[in-house]
Amino acid sequence: MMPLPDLPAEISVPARLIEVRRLAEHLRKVCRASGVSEMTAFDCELALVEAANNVAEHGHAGLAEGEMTLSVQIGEGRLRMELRDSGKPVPEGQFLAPATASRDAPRGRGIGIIRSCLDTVDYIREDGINRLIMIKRLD
Amino acid sequence: MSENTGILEIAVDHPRLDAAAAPAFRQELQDRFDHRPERVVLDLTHVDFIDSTGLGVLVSMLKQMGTNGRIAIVGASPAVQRLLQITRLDTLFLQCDSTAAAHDALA
Repeated sequence: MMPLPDLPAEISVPARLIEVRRLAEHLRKVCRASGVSEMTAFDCELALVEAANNVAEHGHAGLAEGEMTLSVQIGEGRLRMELRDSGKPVPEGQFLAPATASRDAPRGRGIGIIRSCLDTVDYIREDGINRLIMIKRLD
Repeated sequence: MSENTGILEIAVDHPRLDAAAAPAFRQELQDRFDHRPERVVLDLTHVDFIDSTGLGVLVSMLKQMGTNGRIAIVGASPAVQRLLQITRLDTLFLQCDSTAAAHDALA
């Protein structure tokens, strides 16, 4: 994986909706520093934002505090994002289920967007930690 | 609202129309919907990013306008266009190059 000078390997923020913007900003910096195309960077940002929104809205709903941590790596022709948090586990099969939102539904598009924007999405629950690993091939 | 055409024009000034901005945006729209319009020109020139929650506000807005409701979007950035394409909602909203073209499309 390519080193990213002047940028931290990962960033942690409180698991709140307003803080999702800081994760997105970090990703944009990494993409700019690495010469990732604008549209690829946008797809990754959109997927990240949807995933982090879910963490803040659902994974940490009713929890007093908590963090989410993003690490981004670029190399071997791909961009790899890992989003970790210690909130509630994601329901089994959530990232595999087909998108079910009807055309005029105001909600329910997040998971479908994540899958559309990325090549691989893997979810692991390990030692009380949610790990969402999201990979986008770079052209 | 244009008195002559009955078309409501709304310019959105949230650079990020995301889950954090959605509640305020929803309220702003509600404040403009004192009379339920059937045709709206939505200027997104200043919107750099939109997520599914922001998009959901637009979908709710369209539903609130009733079965004859139509929204023409002006100034959609590549990011906005991409989200509309991914979600296949690019056919639900008209996309126009200018406000004048949007008025023509809604006439």
